[in-house]
Amino acid sequence: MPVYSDKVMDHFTNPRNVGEIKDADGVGEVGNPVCGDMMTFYIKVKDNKLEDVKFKTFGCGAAIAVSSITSELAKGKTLEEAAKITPNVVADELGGLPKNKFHCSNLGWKALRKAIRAYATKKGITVQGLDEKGEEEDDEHEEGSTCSA
Amino acid sequence: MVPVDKEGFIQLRELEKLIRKDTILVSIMHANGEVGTIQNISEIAKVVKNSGAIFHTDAIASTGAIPVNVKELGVDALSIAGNQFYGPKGSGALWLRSGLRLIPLMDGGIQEGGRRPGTEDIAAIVGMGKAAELATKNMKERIEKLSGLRDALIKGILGKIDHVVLTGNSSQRIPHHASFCVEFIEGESMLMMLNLNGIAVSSGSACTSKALKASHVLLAMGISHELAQGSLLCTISLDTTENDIDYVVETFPPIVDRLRQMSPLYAKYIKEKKG
Repeated sequence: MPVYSDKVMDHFTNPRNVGEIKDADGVGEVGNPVCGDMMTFYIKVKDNKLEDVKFKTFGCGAAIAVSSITSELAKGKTLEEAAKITPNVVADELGGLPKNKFHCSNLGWKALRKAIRAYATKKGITVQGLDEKGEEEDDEHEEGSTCSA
Repeated sequence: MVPVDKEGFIQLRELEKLIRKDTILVSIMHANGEVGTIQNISEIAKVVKNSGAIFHTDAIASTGAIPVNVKELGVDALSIAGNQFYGPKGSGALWLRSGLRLIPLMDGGIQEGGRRPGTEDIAAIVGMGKAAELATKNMKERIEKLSGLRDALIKGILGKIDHVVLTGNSSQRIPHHASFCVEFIEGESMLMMLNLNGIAVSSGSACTSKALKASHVLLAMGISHELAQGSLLCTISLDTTENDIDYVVETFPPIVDRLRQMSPLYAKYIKEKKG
């Protein structure tokens, strides 16, 4: 078992914002169970702000902690602010992640952005800081590719 | 690589087909440390002997736990490790049928008849010998105690949690060993939760391995990648009590439940079930 920071353990044992939003404005699903990690993010948007963020995660301790802190960081932020959250921000907030668990912080970032993009596409709006094409969707459909650290 | 069936048993017919005229060595584990399956080594030995190849078995998981007799097994070579039966870590032995010669992997020393260089660790050797003596002397009682606890653990977990499978065979398994795959959740998070509750187990999930790959043992048994992520391995020691087993059986189901509440796979399953 890897050695995790106290912050990771805190978010793993008491994850914030677990759940689904039934009438979500955007949903982002990333990862696959083959790799051992899968995350779904749900967002509710009001006045360009993330009024609510919820998630469901299948994965290791790091994956759960990453989902939890990402949801916490994003909640209450404007879409533009949320689009600025990067894997590094997530890992730093958690007090660091073991090297081979870093890809987990990528997943949190991807899932959140995917949910925001789903919302933006639906509304026909552009969110600054979010590429139109979906830069985070590059590798997730290739089986096993996200497994490598 | 010889294929196995869904309980981890070597498929004899396949083995026969795989052995060629120029096959010099066949090596098959006596018992698998991950799923506990005990191979029918004496039957396999007959097949290998017919082919003329040398037959080695890795008896590390079985020696000290169940009777291991090189003559009855019919093998040419057999490996054991002392730490598996309460001997010192770092002690081990390779038994070779008399007349069987091998080219050493390492050169440069005259120890062990020139088979392996390096100063022998006398204390570890004596310790392993004593541990082997005690294991042999107390084997019947140990098997009775451990397999009783194991069966209670298996029964408890399978009875209290839905969507859990026992990996390996229920009776042809080493007495101190119980292994499962829990559906919809991942091994490392189970491990961490159990560890926080004072229960030490291990897992063959991708996340728990350094390579981040699912266990090749479980995959070879036809278990899906997804299910293999929820692998859990429990071993029982002579110090384990009935109370300990009860504690695990009480503590584990709420952990599974909690992780499933977080799992998108479980949510999907529930939705499909309803729909």
